[in-house]
Amino acid sequence: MLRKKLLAIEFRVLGPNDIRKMSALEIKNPETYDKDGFPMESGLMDPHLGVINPGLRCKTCGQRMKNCPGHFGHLELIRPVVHSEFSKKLEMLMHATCMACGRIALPEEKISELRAYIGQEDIDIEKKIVSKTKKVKKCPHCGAERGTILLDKPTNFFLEKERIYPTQIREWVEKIPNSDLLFFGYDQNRLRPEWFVLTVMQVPPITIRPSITLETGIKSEDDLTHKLVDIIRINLRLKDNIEAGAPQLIIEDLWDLLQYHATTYFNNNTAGVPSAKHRNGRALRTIVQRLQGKKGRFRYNLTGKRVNFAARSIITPDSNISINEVGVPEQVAETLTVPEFVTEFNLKDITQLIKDGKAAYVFRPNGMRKKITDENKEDLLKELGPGFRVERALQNGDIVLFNRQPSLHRLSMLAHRVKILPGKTFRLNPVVCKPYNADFDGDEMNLHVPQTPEGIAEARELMLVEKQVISPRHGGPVIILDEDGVSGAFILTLKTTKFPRETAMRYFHIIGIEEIPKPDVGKDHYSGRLIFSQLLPKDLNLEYKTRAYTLLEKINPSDKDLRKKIEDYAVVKIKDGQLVSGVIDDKSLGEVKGTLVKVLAREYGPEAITNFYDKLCRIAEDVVSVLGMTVSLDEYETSDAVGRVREKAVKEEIDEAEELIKQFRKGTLEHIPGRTLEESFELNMMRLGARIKDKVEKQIMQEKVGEIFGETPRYNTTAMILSGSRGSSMNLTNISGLWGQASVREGRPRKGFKDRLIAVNKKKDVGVIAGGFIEHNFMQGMNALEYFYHAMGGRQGEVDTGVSTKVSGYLYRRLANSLKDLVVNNDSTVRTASKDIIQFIYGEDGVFPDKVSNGKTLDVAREVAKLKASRK
Amino acid sequence: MKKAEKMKEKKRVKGKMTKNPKKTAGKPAKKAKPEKRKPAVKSAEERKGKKAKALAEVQEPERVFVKGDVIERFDLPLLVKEHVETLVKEHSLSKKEEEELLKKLRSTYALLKVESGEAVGIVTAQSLGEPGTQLTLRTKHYAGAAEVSVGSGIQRVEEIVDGRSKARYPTMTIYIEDENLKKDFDKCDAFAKSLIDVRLLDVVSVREELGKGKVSIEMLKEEARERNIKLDDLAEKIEKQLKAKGKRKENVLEFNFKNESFLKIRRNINKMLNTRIQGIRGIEKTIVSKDGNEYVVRTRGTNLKAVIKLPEIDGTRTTTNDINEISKVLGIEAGRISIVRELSRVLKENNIAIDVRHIMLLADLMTFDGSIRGIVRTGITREKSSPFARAAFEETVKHLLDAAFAGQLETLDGVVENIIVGQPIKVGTGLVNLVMKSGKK
Repeated sequence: MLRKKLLAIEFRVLGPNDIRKMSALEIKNPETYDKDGFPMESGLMDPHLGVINPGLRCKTCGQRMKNCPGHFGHLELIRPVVHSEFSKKLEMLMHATCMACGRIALPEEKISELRAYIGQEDIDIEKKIVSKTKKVKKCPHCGAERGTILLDKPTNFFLEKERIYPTQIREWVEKIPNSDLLFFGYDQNRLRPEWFVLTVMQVPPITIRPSITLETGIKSEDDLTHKLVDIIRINLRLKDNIEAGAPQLIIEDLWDLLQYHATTYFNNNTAGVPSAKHRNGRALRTIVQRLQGKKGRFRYNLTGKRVNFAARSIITPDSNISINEVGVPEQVAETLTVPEFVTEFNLKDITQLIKDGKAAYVFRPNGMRKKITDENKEDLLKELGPGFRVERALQNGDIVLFNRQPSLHRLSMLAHRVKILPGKTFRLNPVVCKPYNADFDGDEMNLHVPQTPEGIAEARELMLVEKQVISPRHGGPVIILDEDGVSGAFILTLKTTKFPRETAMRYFHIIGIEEIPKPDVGKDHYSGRLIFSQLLPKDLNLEYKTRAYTLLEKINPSDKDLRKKIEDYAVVKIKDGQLVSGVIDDKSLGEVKGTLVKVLAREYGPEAITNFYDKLCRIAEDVVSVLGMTVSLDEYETSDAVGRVREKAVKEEIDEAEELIKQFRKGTLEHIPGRTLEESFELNMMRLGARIKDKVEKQIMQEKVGEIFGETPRYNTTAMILSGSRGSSMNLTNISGLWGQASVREGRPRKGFKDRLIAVNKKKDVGVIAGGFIEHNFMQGMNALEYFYHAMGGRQGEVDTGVSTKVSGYLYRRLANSLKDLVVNNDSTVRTASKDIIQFIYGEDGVFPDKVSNGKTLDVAREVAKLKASRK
Repeated sequence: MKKAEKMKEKKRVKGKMTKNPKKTAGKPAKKAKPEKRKPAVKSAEERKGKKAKALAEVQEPERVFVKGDVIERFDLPLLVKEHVETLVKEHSLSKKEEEELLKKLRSTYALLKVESGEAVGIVTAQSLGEPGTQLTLRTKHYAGAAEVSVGSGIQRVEEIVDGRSKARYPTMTIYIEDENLKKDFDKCDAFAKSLIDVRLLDVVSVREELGKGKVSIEMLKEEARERNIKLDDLAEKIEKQLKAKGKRKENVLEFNFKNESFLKIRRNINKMLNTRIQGIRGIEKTIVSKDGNEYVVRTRGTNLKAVIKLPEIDGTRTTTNDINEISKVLGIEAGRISIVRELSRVLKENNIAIDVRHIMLLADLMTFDGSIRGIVRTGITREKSSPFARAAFEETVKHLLDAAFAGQLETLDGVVENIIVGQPIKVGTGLVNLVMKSGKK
């Protein structure tokens, strides 16, 4: 296929001759349509400017709407006006040059001194010259007097407080010689400053300002057309007045009006100029507004484009499809098409497709498109042969791209294989939620069908879900089993978990093993660990710490029994693909830290990890529902021991706080260095609150941990916390311990009424209760006072998330904009678009993060371990 | 041309320097040739000749693939080599085993290398941008000691990435070399106090009776004691500044300026009050805290240039969080490293896992021309040569007009430019083309 390729685009300012040369027609008529609704000749809607009605032909190029690009017209202005966007440049030139001779108002030697700076980007010669010439009173070249120039923004110029008109300005800058223009960075052969004063205006083609016919049949014109009509009208009036010999004052007024319209035509937001408005008060959207900003041409239409071959629907979970599949509704599959080249090898299949009505179009070798209908089906089939192309409906196994907004990283768009399913939603394996940040509370996602063999191959080789398990951000897994999946795997691999034969067989069926292992618990029970082991490759050897290990360090139970129980679970040991000890939690499966997943994905490849996830997801789901993962109120009822600890803690808080208050009042409180007395006091109070809560938390966790790792575990909130699937011990403390100190902006809430938080407190009371301490928990419920304290903290959280998404969104846009051109070149350097070298070798070792674990170039220790293992 | 050469020179120097501080750089690729950079448009013959020449240059034993498996002479990064050495000793591996290990490592390393065309830039941007919402808004305090607040969270990230010249919470960490100070809290504290920028107005209060030309200056005992200043010294300093002898009554100094104009008296007094009598400019507060088994001084306000000259301190470890200051005092490479360090710190505090390589790339982009440029519209994006790329970012019209004045050429090298005109981008698979040989079989 031969494609046109753009090599470069040149920017420059159009001169009056360019405008006339480009023009297809001079516009003279302010009317757009006549009474019968036909465009007026040499009016703004003249068909010479292009066509917007399908079926009509362009009068300039003779082509139809699809092919005619539109043609520019022009408008001769009776009096020149300043181009508002260029007026600053004009001001500079006038500051720098002599009105009489046009030379830079500096002696010749000084000019040649400056010549050395020409072409150096980081030096602003323009400013340099202006700063020197501004005060020159007499031109060194011709000796003429120079006055000071003042620009009344945007377009009115004054010389010594006397208005100078665009005609005069034009005459002035016309005199500036090309050689002097060089200093202002202008391309001397292509640009003349007198062009900044317009004598001719360009009239854009109809295609960029199409009129629309409303349902009522009334034609509505584009904003640009409106503005152009204004300009033409005033231009004509000005012409008539001049010809009639009207007084100077009236002419000047009209001239200013023309200037106003020209200014707002270019930029309706010019500072100092009231913006032009519609009759209903809405401001016109003129040229600058069209280009600028988020909804402007650049960001809205040019960098973000709309596409065909896409679908959008609500997503729902389905763990029975593979992670690399997406369930596509039949309706969508029938509508979306994939081009298929007819060859002698697939001729039969394609014939069948057409017969079944599963192809929409046939393309003949000459590119002609034919829609397949029941009538022409037979004829087309006869004709069909190699060289033809057919657009067929989506099939099982096709590669599609799946995406959820906001597309914050590259994993927000992954390739899946199509699985056509009944229903109207897209089905997604819950394992792939994480990279999309999707959930199923009504999320919608988009699906795109790549249309070229290159596109399909690229999606398949690079973007397929299983090839993106490892994140390029941190080198750990991002496509992970989480929430119930982790809980399920956790429960499955608890020491106490065992399954009767029937259940185990179901799992073995899911796993798809042929040789069924012998029951390992009693006569006919299988342990969860054994079942889990069937999922692992037979040559896998691993050893790492689990979440229980950190727990052991954190709560450090004095109870020896409990200690032993936890120790039992502390380390995962996998020997030759058998899970020997330890429990599978988020240290095995979680984001970033999931060691097991990381090893599987990296060392055993995409297929192994797909296999592992597909099966584990189904088993975990089954385990959770069969063994019953549930929460209930009595779970949060605490034992007496916890109650005692809680009461003691609250009392301690109040007592200690009283002591602190006493010291604070007396002024004997020890200062935290660098802080005032009050700040020190507040900080101490915060710390006290945290310490108290910690005590309660520890007690609760000690009890709960024993429950799970004991003989008869209950699969409840604690199981979730310990497996790392959801929630933290803090949540549990909030529910059944105590809420603790409310905090706003890293401190106790302070603002409210004068000298107190809430009107029920005494003024200047800095005590525990008045300072926002919440001694109740969610089970007990809070009292009115506490409720409000709690809301204060909650409000801050809401505000923070709102602000932070805004700030980080902009930060991201800036980062992306400045970094997006950096690419690793063939010589292994990282360079910018203009080939400046940023790094000689990427990341100092030339290794991309998604190929590396924990940022280390190579995992030498693991290689050594492997080597040693093979030695034995 | 002159300028281009200069740039090359800078880059070469930079390349060498990056290698030293971190010691991870792979050796061979460092020899990459910046000389190859020349205008893109060339005639076909010229290009052919160049290609042949380039091929000849690559003949150096840079990367010799043997059946895509083992790569001989392909050197491992230094850090890995060191690691191998220690592990070999630790596990007492035999010579043969070591060989085997190295061979394995080399071949794995070869497989790990970035592929050319990898869009490392956009991945970096995404890696920093995607978890952005997880960053906290608040400013955090040092763990344990709530004395010095450091920026943390999204504001600090913005500050660093913008390359702003003033940090919002400037702070220094001063390590002490002097053995006596290092271990003794009181001595260290005294030293820390002596660093604080003290102006006379902090320790005196002035009463003017201008009608009589009398000025009495009270030296505040408490304030002076807190800052370790003796009253006698203080009196001396005041007199020296005012160039006059005063009558001393305990802690009050009285001056008599009968013959001078009020304005002049006022001016002199104000000048006197603003005189620094102790400490280092910019240091507002100091706190001594323990770091490991030594005491370190943390400050609010920074002045690296002055502090680093002090004989008591350990100049190799003392640092500030003001990146611009570091690069001014210690050079751009130090600036680069401090960007990496500060960003890593903030992200780690917020529990955001991100590979250093991303941060290094960002830091390299910000510093590669020898000065720190921020990721803002006045920073890196302004330097882009493509008018489209600039217009698509911010200030669309301004950039288009500027391009028109200068008659700029849009050469469509970058990503946005090609998206705008609807062409494949020159990144990843867009970097290569397939050409089919036609005609002869």
